[in-house]
Amino acid sequence: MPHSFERVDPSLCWNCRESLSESDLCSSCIKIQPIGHDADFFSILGLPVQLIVDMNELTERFHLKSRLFHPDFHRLENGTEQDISLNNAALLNQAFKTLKDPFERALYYLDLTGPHHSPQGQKLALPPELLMEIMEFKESLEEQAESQDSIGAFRTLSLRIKDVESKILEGMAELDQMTGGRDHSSLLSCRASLSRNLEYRKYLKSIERDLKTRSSSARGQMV
Amino acid sequence: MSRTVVGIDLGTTNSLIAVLRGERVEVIPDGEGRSLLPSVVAFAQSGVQVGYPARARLNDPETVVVYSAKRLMGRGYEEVSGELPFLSYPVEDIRGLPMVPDRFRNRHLSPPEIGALVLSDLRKRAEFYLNEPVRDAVITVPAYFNDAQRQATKDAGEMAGLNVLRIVNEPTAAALAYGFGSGKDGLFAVYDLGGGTFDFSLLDIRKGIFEVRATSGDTHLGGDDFDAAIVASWLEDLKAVNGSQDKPEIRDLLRKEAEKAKIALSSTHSVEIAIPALHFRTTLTRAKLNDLVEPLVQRTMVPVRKALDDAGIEPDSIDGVILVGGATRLPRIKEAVQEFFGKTLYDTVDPDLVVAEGAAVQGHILSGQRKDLLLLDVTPLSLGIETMGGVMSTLIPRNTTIPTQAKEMFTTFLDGQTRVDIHVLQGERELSKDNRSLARFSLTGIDPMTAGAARIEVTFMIDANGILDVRALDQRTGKSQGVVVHPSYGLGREDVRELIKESFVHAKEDFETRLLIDAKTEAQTVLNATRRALDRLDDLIVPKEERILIQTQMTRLEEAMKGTDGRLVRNETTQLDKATQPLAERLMNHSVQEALGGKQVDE
Repeated sequence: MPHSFERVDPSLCWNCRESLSESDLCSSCIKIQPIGHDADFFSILGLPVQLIVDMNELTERFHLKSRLFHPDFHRLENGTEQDISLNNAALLNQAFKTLKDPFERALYYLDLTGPHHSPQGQKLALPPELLMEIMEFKESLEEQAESQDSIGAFRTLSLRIKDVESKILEGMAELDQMTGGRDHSSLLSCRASLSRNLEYRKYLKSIERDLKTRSSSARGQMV
Repeated sequence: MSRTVVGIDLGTTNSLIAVLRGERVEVIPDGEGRSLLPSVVAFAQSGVQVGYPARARLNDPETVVVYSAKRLMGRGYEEVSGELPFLSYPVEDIRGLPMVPDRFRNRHLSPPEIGALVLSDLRKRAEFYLNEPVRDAVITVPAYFNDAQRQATKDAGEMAGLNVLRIVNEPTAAALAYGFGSGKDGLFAVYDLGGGTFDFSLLDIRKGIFEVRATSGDTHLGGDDFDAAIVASWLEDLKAVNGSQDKPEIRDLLRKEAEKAKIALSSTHSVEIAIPALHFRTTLTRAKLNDLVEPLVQRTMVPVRKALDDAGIEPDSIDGVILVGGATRLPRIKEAVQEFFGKTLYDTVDPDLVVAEGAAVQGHILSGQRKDLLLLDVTPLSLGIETMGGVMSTLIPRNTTIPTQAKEMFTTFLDGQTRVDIHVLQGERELSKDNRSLARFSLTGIDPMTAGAARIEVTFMIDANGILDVRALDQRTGKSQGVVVHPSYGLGREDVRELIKESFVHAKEDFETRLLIDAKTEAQTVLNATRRALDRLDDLIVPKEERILIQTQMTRLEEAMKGTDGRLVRNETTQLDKATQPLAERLMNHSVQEALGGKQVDE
């Protein structure tokens, strides 16, 4: 069975060939329709492409579409429908998982709306002076943790993470307001600063992970 | 007509089957009104037994009694070797799999085959109770079960002649059984401590949607370990008194007493234990029991913290904790959970029954009769592939809502290479060798070309059962690419198909046996009734010719009953019925006449 459904004409129902008034469900034969290859995560959930998302609305849409697509509700139907249901539900879950986390959502948004949109995402290099700063910060934290003050090290780190996260959230709101406007250069600089902050956060998070594994293995050795 | 879908809890110690009829969930009892079926199978010269009779033969030297087979399910021999000293039946390494030899029938049974025997028994129980054939089923597994363990459970179901519509996680099923979703929205935790496994899940329940936020567990922690802790302490005492006595039989004896004592201490504070055969007398208090099990209780808190951490949830934002599994009856467990969360404990549904009941509710949903409830479960372990240098690269992180998929592009690294091997792993560690190997997939039949030119897109799909399916697509041709699977543990697909076929043959045999027994019982009833009538009635009512005719047919039936052909017995019984019909009618007429005061009724 195919894993994806390339339809000749996506505006027609795969089953009865009637034209579709909505993309999820055929109104004449009541069959669910496969989500297209080119659908982005926002459109899968029926949301506008925006950085700031109302969490309640997002969850509600996810639940609504889950009720439509989830394999539990198509268990007794034929193979094609079960396949569509499985694929759609998997895509829907992926979309929800990405959009419900603001930072993942921002990364996805930048990639989706970027000039060189690529499905694998783009590598972004931080300026060397920022990388240096991160390295030094990491070393100082490790020293602090080794000198029996791991709680203090965690606190310093989480303050730094909180700080960059609130900057990211501000940047997201700002970018939403600018989008569609005429000021192209400030839009670009806003995008650039947002993606730099996201990248910076990623480094901080990986330091946090390292620190956690270190402290738990240290605890393990004591036992 | 809607289909009946049963829910089955295939447990380490006990199994159950339930069904939703009307508005009510019914746990289906056996002929003697018992809900539980011990997950025990006994092999003897005389036959195979399942459940209570099997368990009763635990110390019978002429019988091999297999229990806790769930601990072996979907695992390799190496993996389970640590547990084997605790099992009093033999387990052999057959092609890397733990198999139980049945010396009476010259065969080896895999853990799914043992499970299938338990499932068949439950299925028959349900068929008898519902008076209809049962095929569609939902079977529960610990949430922390990996892909191979889930697949093995599904295989067991199919070998038992069941159409397994869904593998459901036990804690999620329990939440369904509690009837949440009908107004009681919130964030709930399920603490599920069974006989052999521990699961912990966090669920967000909103308007009938049960969304699992995170799950965690320990597949080797349960009530059995509590018994083992008690046994270990008693063995110490025994050693002090009469020297070393650590033999399997003694362990078995102590384990039974330990289990009894543990259960008693849920309602009393002190129990006396006396085992005359070992000259052993002792007192176990609840305080002492609490001390013994404390390390195990603390072990359950490790997965609890992990799940909370994964979901980014603080314990005090939880609205309530659902207790599941027989071991949560232990007062110390309730106390520890209460201390940790400080929230309402839900323990009103019998912790032994709650999982099967939830499975029945899920069965009802899958039968298409219910649209208001929906479970959105997660995969408990990260899925990845082995990359250069033996490092695991994660494709699907743990606690991702299922179904889910990940796509990855593969290519060749040698000129003319026609095959690419992919090693799929499950686990959280950095290095492949520290994770569990799920399977090796080979992409075969790649057109020979320069290195790096091939572009094969592989989709790793985890379905709603938490079971992996791999498909490959050649990006250049748009054609699907051949995938050959070599499961690392568990049975290959071919083996399973073979076993399912075999089980159908056995199912037929079983059916023949049942038919014969039923036919003989019925024949005996008819024979007895006829004989009584002939003895009672004189020649006036039964003329000589008719009497001879009936007697001849009785002899034919008795001859047929000496054989093993159930259908022949049934036919001869019908013939006897026919031969006695005129007589029966006359007798009927006669008795009606008497009742009516001698009047003829037919005119």
